[in-house]
Parts: sequence; structure tokens; C-alpha cells
Amino acid sequence: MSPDKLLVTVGGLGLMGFIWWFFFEKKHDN
Amino acid sequence: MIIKTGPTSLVKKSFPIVGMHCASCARLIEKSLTRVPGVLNASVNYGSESAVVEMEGNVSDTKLESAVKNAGYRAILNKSNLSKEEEKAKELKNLKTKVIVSSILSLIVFVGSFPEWFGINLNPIFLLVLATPVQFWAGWDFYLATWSGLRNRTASMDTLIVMGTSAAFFYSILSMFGVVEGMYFDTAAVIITLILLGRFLEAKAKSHTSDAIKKLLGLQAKTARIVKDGREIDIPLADVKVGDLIRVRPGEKVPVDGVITRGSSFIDESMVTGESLPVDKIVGASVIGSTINKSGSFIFKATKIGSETMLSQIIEMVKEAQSTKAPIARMADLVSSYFVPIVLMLSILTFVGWYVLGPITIGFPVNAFINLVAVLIIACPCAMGLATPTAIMVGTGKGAEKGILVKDAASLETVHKINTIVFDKTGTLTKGIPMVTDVSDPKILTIVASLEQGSEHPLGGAILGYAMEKKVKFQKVTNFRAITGFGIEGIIGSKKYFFGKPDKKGESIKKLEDEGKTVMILKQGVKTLGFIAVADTLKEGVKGVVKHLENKKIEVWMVTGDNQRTAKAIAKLSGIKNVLAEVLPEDKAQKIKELKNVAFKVTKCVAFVGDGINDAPALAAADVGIAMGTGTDVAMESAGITLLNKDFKSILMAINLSKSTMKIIKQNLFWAFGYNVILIPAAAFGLLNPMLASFAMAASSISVVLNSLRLNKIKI
Repeated sequence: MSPDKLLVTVGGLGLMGFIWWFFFEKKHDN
Repeated sequence: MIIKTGPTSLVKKSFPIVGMHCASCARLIEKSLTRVPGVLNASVNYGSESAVVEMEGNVSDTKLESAVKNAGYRAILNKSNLSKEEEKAKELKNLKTKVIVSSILSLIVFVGSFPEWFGINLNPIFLLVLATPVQFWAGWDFYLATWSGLRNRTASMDTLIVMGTSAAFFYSILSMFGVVEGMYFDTAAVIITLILLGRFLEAKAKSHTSDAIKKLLGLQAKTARIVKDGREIDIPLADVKVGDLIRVRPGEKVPVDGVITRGSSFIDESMVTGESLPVDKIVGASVIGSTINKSGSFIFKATKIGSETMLSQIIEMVKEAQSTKAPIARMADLVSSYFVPIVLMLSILTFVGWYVLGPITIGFPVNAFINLVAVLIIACPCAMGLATPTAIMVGTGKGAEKGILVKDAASLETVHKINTIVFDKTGTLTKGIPMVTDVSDPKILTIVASLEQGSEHPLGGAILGYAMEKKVKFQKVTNFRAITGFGIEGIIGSKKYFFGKPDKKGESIKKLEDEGKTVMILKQGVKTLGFIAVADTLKEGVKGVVKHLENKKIEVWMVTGDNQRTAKAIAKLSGIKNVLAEVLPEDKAQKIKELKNVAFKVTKCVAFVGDGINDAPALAAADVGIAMGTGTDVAMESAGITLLNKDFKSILMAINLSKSTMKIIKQNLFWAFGYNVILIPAAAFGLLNPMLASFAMAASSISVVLNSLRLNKIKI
């Protein structure tokens, strides 16, 4: 896999993880 | 309003908030308010659009105002109620303008986007100029709400709208520069317009909820005639003091609560107490403010004024009940809270998939980007804004045809869920007017009716009506006299008669009284000639409806201010097993609340059916308030549903209407989301072309509208 594709894959998965965390893993402060 | 609680400097403040459009807005404002130094607790109610803040010391209004403003909403502090109304009216007007302007612009953009259908080819720059105000002026609130939601880490319908329409809008701009192909200005504009239209219809329905309180305030007398130093002077109601002596003449309203000190009269208290017959009041009897004096003139001493009167208490209870009503959980918002993050993740997955596995691109990854946008656009369900409002509109229209007026959509949503129904007695189960039920001997009717001609007693009217129906010939009465509290007497021919309360009660009279009837006897000297019984009678069809409700596993209750005997008699006639009698007007709402909580871990959904002003708090406190159209305006305003039809069966019709409407709404939401859900994989795999996307949009909207129209054909 070329470096740019690897970067997009890792970045994309990271972003998806962030979205999951942002919307679903939350509200402990309520 | 500021309420000081206790000797410490704990201050409670409540104020209205403008600009909320879902329950999560309320949570966001609460969070923002609790961050203000000095604020201990904040509770925001979406239903009543108000906030209650508990503060230590006095936190300045500016700080509270800016906290609410930071969350993206507006607080109205230190202003009269009128300005709140004005603010709301202004907001509704704004929304209306936005709907009209964006409808016109969207229509032009739509027509111009499909030259193959309409034959009009518009320049893309012209389309951009028309679509921009729709996107960022009419749709600005969606952006604000999305921002607020993201700060609260929630995704709502607004997020979905912003995501889909922005993707369509900016993609179209890129397309103008030749980076990508296809224009979606029409998609963005039409979605925003349709959803704004839905919001406008909803806001309009919501704006009527405070009318009940306005009507209640309008019931109060404006002035009182006080007796001072032998003179009578009219003074404004606000100037009346406890202990003032007040004169009330026939036909006038009693201005405040008090006790009669001189004179007597019959007072129509039905508006406040629900008691169907005007009440005989003599010296020492208490009178209630805002009730109507029927016959005599009397003087009374004011005992309760201002906010302490019974009517003021009722107003407070209606206000409280309206503001504690649970916010409507919006199905679309609930679905969106899961749908949006998933769509976002899918769109990223699409981009990564096309970038890694798709055809090799140099420079800008066009294919990966096109498909990412396609997923976002197709995920925004155009028909979602129409799903609920169209079904509610057709449902309420169908209801109106059958004499069922639905005031707020929430009631129509809730009524099919009820498992307990509470009926008020007078005017709801019964006709609310006295009728002659028993006459011991038809011959006495001529004498009684002749005597009653001169009487002002409310029961006399019932007897006269009955006599006229029976075509009785009236005779001349001389020396007529009304004996307050007892009856009437007069001479017919040469014989002296008395008609009124029985001095001795035989078996037959006792039996009738046990049935809740008022019995009066006719006497000539000491000889009793016979009796006539009068009672409030049951409406037609009540028994059948009660049975039907019980068959549906709905618990039926009756609650009344009337005495145990009458209550039991009516309950027996109507087949109701659960009876609450002698309930004071102020306790009715409390009883409803108790019934709501009484269940053993089973949630009770309670409907209250009533007609009087005394029923208003209970109507507002119940999950669904159903008012009888023959009742008072205040009851109708406090209720979510009004039955104009005299046919008692319309209660069953309302339940069926709600069931059908909810079924249609659920189907609509399925269609609205369904098309899009199916097409998301197609978009992700790059199989979606613009024509298919447009077709899906149009098809889901049309199927939603057609499905809603189906309600017209359903038999309720």
C-alpha cells in the first residue's frame, strides 16, 4: 500500500473512531 | 417572576425563552445556565418555553441573558407577559416570511434544474443566486441548531438537514467550476423549504396554548360595588380589600370570594364548581368570585382577594400543568441521533474505500469525493419534514369533519396510548341541565306548573318546560309567595297550595333521593297531593361507550364535586365502577396526577374528559385533555381535543383517529427514511446517478403525501 493510501486509511478510521466517541461515548458529565 | 425562598439568599427566577425547537435545545440551555457563577440549578422546559433558575445571591439578568444567548437562544428577562407574546408572534411572522420567500425561490430553482422536464434552461449562476438565500438566510436556524447540538454532542434532524443540504450546495458550486459533475441546488433548496413549512405549521398550532389563561383572566369581574358609609361606589377589582362589603345585583358576577352578610340569591356556580344546579345562598353562605348571581340581590364580605381567590388558584394550576407537560419525544429526532453518526461514518468509509481500492487518480480524488457527497445527499430525507405534519393535517381535518377538534398534535399522538380515562360528571356524562324524571300523579302537574310561573327557582324552569311539553293548561295564581330555602305557595281558585321541600319522607321519596334526584312535594293545607322529582340525566350512549372502553382494557373513572349519593347513582346508570365523589375543584388535577402515578410499575396514560372551568387544571394535567364542546371556552382551551359532536361515541372515534394517524406517521417515517437507507449503499458503491437520486427524493415525498391522504378514506 502506498504511503498516501495508508495515511487516508488510518486518518479515515481515526475520524470514524472520533465520530463514534463524540456521539456515543459521552454524557458522563450529566 | 422572582420567588425568595427562605432567609438565605437563595433566589428562584423564571423567565421565557424563545427559539427552542426540540427537547435537546432545553438540555443545552440548562447546561449553559448552570455554568454561570452563582447559579445552583437550572431547569428548562421545552413545552412551556421557559426556564427556572435557582441562584445564590442575585445573579445579574445580563449574565443569564448572555448564557442563553451563547447557547444560541434568547431569554426574555424583565419584560411583561405581553412582550413574550409579541416575541412569539414576531418569530412566527419571521418563519412565515421565510417559508413564503424560500417557497418561491425553491420553485424557480427546481424548475430551472430540470430543463428536460420543464423546458426552461437557467444559468447555474442564477441558480446559485436564488439558492444562496434559501440555504443561509431561511436555513440559518438549522446551522445554529446544529452548532448547538454539536456542542452538546448530539445529532438531531437539524444536523442531518445541514449535512445533506450543505453537501448538495457546495458540491454544486464545485460543479460550476468543472471540478465535479451535476447540480443539486434544487435538492438543497427544496429540503429546507419543506422542513421550514413543517416547522411553521407546528409553531402555529403551539401558539394557541396560552389562550386558556387569557380566557380565565377574562372571566373575572372588572369592578366591585362596595358599600361604605351607606353609599355604594364602583371600584376597580384590584382595590378591593379583605373585609370590604360588596353589593351584587341580579345578573352580575360575584367579584371576589366571600361570605353573604345580607340578602339571598341563587348563584350559578357551574362554571367553577361543576355543580349543575344554581345554588341557593343565604346569609352566612360563602360565595365564589366570578360566579354569576342569578336572581336576588345581596351584600357579602370579601374574604379572599387577588391571587388567593379560587379562580386565581385555578389559573395558577392551569399554568403549572401546562408547563410541566412532558415534551414530545420526536421520533424523527430519536432516529436522527443514531442515523446521523452512522451516515457520517459511512461517508468516510466510502471515501477511504474509493481512495484505496478505486481507480487511480492523480491530484484531487474526484471519485472518492463524489461518492462521499452522494452518501451525504442521499441520506438527507426530503420527505422527513412532511412525514408528521401532513399526517397530522389530514388527521385533524378528518377529525374536524366528525366534530373532533384537535388543538395540538401531541394530543393526537397520545390519545391512542391511554389506558385510563377519567370523566367529569356534570355536563360530561350528564346533560348538565335538570329535567323532570318522575311525576307521582299527572293531575298535579297543572297546579305545580301554574305555581312555578311566578318562580325564579332554577328547578322551576325544568318543571315549566316539562309542563309545556305535555301541553298543560295554566291556571291563574293569586297571592304568590316564594319562601327562600323552602319552596313556593299561592292560591288557585280558592285553594291554597305549597310546593317545595318535603317535610316528611316516605319510602318512595327516599328511593328517588338515593337515585340522586331532587324531590319536591305539592301540599294543600296539611294534605300531600303528590311529588315531582327532578334530576340531571345521563347523556345518550354513555353506557355503551363505557362498556366499549372497558372492553379495550381502558380503566374508566368518574370524578365529581357532587355528593356521594348522586355520584353513585350516575355511576350505576353509566356502568362506571371507579368513583371519586366530593372532590373539590382544586383537587381534581391532583387526583389526575395521583392516578398517573398510582400504577404498580406500570405507566399509566390518563385522559380526562370534562367541560367546566373547574376541569381546566385537570384537563391540562392529564396526558390528554378532552373537552366537551357544549362546555366552557376555558375547558376547550385547556384541552388538547374538543368534541363538538353531541354524540358521546365521538370519544371512541377520537381514539380510533389517533390510532390511524399514528400508524400513518410511522409508515411515513419509514418511507421517508426507507428510500434513502436503501440508496445509501448504492451511493457508497458509486452506482448512484443524479437522476436516480432525484427520483428517490420525489418518490419518497409523493408516497408520504399520498399515504397521509389515505387517512381520509379510513373509517373511524
